[in-house]
Amino acid sequence: MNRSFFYKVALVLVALSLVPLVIFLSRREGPPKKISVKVHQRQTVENFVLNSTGEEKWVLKSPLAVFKERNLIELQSPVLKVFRDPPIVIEAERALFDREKGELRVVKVKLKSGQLFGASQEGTYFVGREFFTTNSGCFIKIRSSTTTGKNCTLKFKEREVIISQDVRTLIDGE
Amino acid sequence: QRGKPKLPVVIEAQKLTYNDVQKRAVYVGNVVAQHGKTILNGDKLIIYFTKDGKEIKKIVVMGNIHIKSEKGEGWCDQLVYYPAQEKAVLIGNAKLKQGKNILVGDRIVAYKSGRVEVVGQKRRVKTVIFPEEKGGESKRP
Repeated sequence: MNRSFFYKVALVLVALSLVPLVIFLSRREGPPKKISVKVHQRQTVENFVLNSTGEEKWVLKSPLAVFKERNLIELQSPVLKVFRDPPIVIEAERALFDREKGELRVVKVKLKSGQLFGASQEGTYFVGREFFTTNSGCFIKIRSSTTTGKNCTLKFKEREVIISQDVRTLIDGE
Repeated sequence: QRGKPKLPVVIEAQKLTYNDVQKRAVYVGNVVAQHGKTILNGDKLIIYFTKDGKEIKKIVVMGNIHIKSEKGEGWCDQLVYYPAQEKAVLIGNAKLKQGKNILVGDRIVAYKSGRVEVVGQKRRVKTVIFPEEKGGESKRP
């Protein structure tokens, strides 16, 4: 009787000792879920040149461009030339070009087209629609008149300027 | 007036729309325009430039119009101002006050020299006034 009793006890002990192992093995996490991590290198390009592909003919140049994302490019001292009549030349201290939307967000910008010269602290030029807009102050010179104001829009296609706040114009000698 | 420096025109307003094709600038909202000593006020002011866009052909003012200069002040429904000649044409309920004289008509043309023509179809009023010379003498035609 004693032997079988001890045998049973031994069996129980063996079973009990296996329990932690089973728990441990069952709790072990499965392999991590596959997450797609955007692998992006901050690509820097010197003497960056980007030519238009669509109907509008333009070229965007910058001594230094940094690709923040595939379609988002940071540009130092960019110059955008739009080949139309009269041509448009936009220069800035720096800019962010959103290739997908066709928007050039510029800081300390100067715009020239024919007799028009404009300047502003910041703004956005919409490449496809050829117009520039800013909510901050702007300075516009057209032939003998200079105008300052806020909330300015330059529509190059329509050759129209709209300033919708604090307008002040000086027209030279009449 | 050879040699007399041309006077700049200064305009202030809430909003401006300039169109280089039409060579026209439209100012809207509390418009104040100054040319030398002449001051124009109105709700809306349109500048018509010459074809080359370099000079002003005329300025048209509409709504709550008031014009003031050394020679007097005036009110009307619509005003046309020619900066090159410093001539103002007040159209519709035109009223001009020069010193004590008040002139009323359908249309008043005021010249830089101070000479004024008043035309009145509705009220058949027609007045021609000559500015007094210094020393009070009146200059007859």
